[in-house]
Amino acid sequence: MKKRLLLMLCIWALTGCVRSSSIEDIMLVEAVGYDDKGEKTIEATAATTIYGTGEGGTKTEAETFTGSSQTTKDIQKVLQSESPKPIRLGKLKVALYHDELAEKGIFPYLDSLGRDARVGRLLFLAIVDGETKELLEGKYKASTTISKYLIDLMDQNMKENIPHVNFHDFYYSYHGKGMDPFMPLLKKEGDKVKIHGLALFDGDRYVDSVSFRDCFVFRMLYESFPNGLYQVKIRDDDYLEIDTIASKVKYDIKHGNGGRPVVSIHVKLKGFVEETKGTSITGEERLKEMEKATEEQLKKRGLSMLRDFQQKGIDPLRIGNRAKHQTRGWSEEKWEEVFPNAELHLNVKVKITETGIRQ
Amino acid sequence: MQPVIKENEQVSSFFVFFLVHSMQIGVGILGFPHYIATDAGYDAWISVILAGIGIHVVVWLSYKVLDKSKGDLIDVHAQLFGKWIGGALSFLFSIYSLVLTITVLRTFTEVVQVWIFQELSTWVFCGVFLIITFAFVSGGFRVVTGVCFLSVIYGLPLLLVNYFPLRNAHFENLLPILDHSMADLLKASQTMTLSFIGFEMLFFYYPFIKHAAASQRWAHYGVLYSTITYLIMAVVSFVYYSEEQLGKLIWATLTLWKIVDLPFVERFEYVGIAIWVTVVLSNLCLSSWGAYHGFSRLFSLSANPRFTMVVLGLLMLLGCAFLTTRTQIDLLNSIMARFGFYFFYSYIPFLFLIQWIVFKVRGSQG
Repeated sequence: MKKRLLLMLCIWALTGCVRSSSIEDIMLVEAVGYDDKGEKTIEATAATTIYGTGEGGTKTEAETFTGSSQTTKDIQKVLQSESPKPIRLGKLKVALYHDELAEKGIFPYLDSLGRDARVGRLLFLAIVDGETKELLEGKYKASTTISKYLIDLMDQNMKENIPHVNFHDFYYSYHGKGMDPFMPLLKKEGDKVKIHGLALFDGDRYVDSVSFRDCFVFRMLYESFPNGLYQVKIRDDDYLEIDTIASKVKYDIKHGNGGRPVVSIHVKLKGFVEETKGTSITGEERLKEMEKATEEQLKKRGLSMLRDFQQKGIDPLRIGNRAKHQTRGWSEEKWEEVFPNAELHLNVKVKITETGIRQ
Repeated sequence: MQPVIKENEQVSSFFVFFLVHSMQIGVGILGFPHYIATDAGYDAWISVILAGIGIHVVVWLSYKVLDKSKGDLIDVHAQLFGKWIGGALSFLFSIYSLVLTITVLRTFTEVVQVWIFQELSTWVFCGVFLIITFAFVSGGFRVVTGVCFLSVIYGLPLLLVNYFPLRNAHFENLLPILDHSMADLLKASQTMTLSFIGFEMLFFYYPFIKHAAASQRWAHYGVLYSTITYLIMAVVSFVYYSEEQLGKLIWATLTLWKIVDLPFVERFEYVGIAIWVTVVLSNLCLSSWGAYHGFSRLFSLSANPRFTMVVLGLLMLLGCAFLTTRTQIDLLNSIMARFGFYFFYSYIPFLFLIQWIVFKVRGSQG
């Protein structure tokens, strides 16, 4: 009995052990943005939702706070000056970076989030063409709060149009050998936010981008995926919209640690014809022609993209890493030395399986 | 000689499976992929298997020693080295159990402090944990076994969580296989030994097992199951993280739980750490039971159990509070790893040999 009392006493006493905080007394940040203000000053903007009761039930209101600092990259410290309540990052879902800031390197900003055990690893990252403050403060009709809008926007697009990137994926490529990270590139356009393409990094510096239209080609080379849309131009006034149902990519890399590496990429793509602007799509011959045109166009765009990356010395497609897994005794230094001269082959096979419910 | 353990204090031989396995799975599993990958890169999963095989051999040797002496380690020492030297060795082993308790408790406290409550006081948390531990220890060995059994059951769902990292796994990370030298692999298996520490408590609880000699296969099953668990965790971490990324993480397994995305819980790692309390509790119960049992037999303190437990608990609490930084905790862990390694691969074979010689000589004399 005594023992039990003692245990009860302990449990009761333990609740006073650490500071507790209720949801009304803290500010849960849902999205943050970092801007470059020149002269080594950074400005951080945090978007939160204020919960309150109004007429007809709970009312939510979007609110943003801004703070600037020259010394620290830590978001909590930066925002302290303006926030009326202590800031907590437990529900942080989106982190945005000003393109000018990202050109100088974003690792210090990422690291302060990465060290924090309370920040999740499913965080979405993005570069903003323009100031993040402007984007976060904007009013959008598409969704109640900016963070929800951005989450939905990226979630939806990462399923269909661009490869999946979150905090974990970024770290994976940032630290890993033979690969460079990338993240979505956003732009505010009126009362909408638009995905502009992909921002490519060399280490932690933003150096290049892929347009939204080319994201399909990028994704085709980067990973196997089930669905995506691509528009093919067969000749003037003859367009074709392909709805991919399966795309498979395979890398075959020879001489990965010496001489001149040979990188052969094989892509197999299966798709429906979604719509055409031109003549009819019936007939075996016409189908062959369309397949051929698609293959050629994808190959052309793919190769020019690959050569571009090769010249700029960035590797968002993880070719070095793929070479590592196919080569014994692979070393990063050696690879970086030989890769600029590597031979690149791209082989695309397109199969159009269906043409819709009309002839 | 130790008085014969009464049957109502003994446990069935199949519980050895839970005693061995639950003690091997502890705080180590939260961070081990980082350490073995530092030694042998992504070939380190082979080292997990190698270390597992090594431990099977050691378990086999331990049973040979214990079966022959028909008692616990204190009896073995007394039979082979006499009262004083043997007693000193047993004393050292009891100290080892005590330090093991401190290591486990302090390492887990650190996890809670870093991951959940930054301002949590080490004194209070360790104190409460130790009170709970000794409440179980005072119930005797059967109660401790029960805790071990439950901890294995409670820990099971955490294996299912691996589904989430496997959704975006990079299985090619494991290729090419055997890209590291044998020396690297062996070094990683040495590091891996820390994770298998714990079964040596067998040297204390052997007399508490019914038909002890027949329990050997359960001990081997326990080690096998631990090896499989570690193998799964290592492979999942390796396919989920890039090698250099894993190099930056202190608690790779815990970080894996961060991406669990369930509709009803946003941060699964909090749930995971809470479940892990039972797993750690079983470690603490068994090792502090070992320390308690060792000291009370050596100094004939069994008449005054409460006094012994309070002293031991205070010593452990002091030990925990004394360690304040990550570096110190890491140092203690690596000292324990080295000690465990030499204990398994030098001392137990040594005991086996000495015992074989001594019994042979005495046998021929008698």
